[in-house]
Amino acid sequence: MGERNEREMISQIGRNRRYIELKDFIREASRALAKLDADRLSELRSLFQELSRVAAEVDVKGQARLTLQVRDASKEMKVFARVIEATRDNLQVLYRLRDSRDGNLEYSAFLRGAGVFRGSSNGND
Amino acid sequence: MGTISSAFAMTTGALEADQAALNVVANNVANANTPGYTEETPTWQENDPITLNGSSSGSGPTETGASSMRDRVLTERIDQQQQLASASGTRLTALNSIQALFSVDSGTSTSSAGDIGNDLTSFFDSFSSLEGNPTSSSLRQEVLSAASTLASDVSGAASSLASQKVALNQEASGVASQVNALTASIAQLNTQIQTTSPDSDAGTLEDQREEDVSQLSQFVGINQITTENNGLSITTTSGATLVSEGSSNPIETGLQDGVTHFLVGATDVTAGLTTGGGQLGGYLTARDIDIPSVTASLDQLAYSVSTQVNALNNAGTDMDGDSANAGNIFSESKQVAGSALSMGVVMTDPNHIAAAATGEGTGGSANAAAIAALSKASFVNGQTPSDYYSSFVSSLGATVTEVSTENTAQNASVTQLQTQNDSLSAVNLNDEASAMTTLERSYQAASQVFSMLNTIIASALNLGDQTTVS
Repeated sequence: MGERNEREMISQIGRNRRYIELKDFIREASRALAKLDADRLSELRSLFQELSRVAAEVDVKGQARLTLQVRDASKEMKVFARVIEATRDNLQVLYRLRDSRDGNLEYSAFLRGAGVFRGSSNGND
Repeated sequence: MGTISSAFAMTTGALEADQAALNVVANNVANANTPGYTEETPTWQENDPITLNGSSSGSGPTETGASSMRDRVLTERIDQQQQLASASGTRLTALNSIQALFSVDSGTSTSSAGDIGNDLTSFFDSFSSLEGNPTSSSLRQEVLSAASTLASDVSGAASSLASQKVALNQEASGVASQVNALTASIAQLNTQIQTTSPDSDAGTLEDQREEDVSQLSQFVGINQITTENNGLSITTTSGATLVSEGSSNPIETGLQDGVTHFLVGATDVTAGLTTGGGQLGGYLTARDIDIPSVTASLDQLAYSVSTQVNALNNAGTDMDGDSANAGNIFSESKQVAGSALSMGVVMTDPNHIAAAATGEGTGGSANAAAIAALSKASFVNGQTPSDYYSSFVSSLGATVTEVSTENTAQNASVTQLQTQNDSLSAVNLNDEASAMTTLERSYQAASQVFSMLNTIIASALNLGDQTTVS
């Protein structure tokens, strides 16, 4: 899906419910996060900025349609929230790993014992 | 200062070390596409210093072998998430099969579990029709026909659930066999690793062990405990020992009340395996929690409907003039459990339907009206029969949705971690710091997207109460 097409689709939100599905974009965001596609997420961020602007301008009828789409996307939003939570947890694990390699955590001794950092203190320093 | 010969020795050693390092790199390239292969880096160790006349000098490095770029903490995190994803994925498959039973589109138009809601309506409607013409033979026959369809669909659904339970039993037993093969392999690898590389990374052997542990994580929830000399012990998440260094304890199966139980040694570990994760956890959760829950709901519906209808029919007067003794329409249930499977129509003569109330004479219709009114009476756990059925199907649907959400998120987590692990363990050019930055960028961008969506949602719903990630 090209960016231009997406922008055209975004501009339709609130006007034609069959043409645009908010849940598809949220699903795409979950997919991009699972694949760590930061560029894609940045694109989606721009699109949602546009969506936010359009949503503020639509008339009452359009607002009602947008509300329907939002309600329809509740499951996708829940999945997206869970993926973000999992990402945050994974990031924490990796921060701790980095710290352990830097020797900032006690269990770094375990990693050295596993052979990864062998050979640094034996000899004639 | 050392001697000339020791300086030569140092130079030669360095050259040998370089060659060994080149071999490690060549091995990495050759195994770039080998599943489970972990990139190796040469391990350098300084030689003992040379001491002459009381002073020491270095003697250069020696390449002591290859050390895989693995990180057990990250690998364990992947295994842990894999266990959760496998469990929810397996459970989801089973739940989808259960839900399909109660989908209106799943069966034929004449008889299927998906029609139970309509069957209930048709059954009570048939009594409403009979109320209008209580002596009509055809309407009496329609009552029995509607009762038969309802009973057939309910018992058919219970029978299908029982069949699914048997299938899950077999699947779970099959997984236990695969677990046993892997734990035996891991125990054997433990022995080899502890013998050949007690103090350093065992390279290929360790790759094989990691691959086995990774597969094991898909099958069962486990804890990994690193032991001395590069050994690895494995327990189930509930603590039963599957591998203790060089020996393994198989999971054995045994029948108890017709249900397969799982044992390690003499200990029944079924309950622990159910909540533990992996495919086995998923199968057992579906078998021991989801199916019994759905079956219990069906049993309650069948028991309440048949008991109430039979009681009212026995309280009225049938076409033969029998009062307070017309007989049962449905088979009699002594207890709730098993009522759905045994539900059937025992009445064969439509003249035994007691449409009239006692004292009305055979042409009365008050009792038919009373039975028809059961459709609006809250006698199934405080709900009408149709509402009870609807809420149980909705509840099943909500469970499927919840497990589906969990599974999607868990798979996403596994994908992320594997990407990170690839940057560390696989043979590619990305470095770890770059991969970490990608993860951070993705997380930040996703958080911003989520925040914007929250704003849009709050605005659209006009609630002013935003969803939170907690």
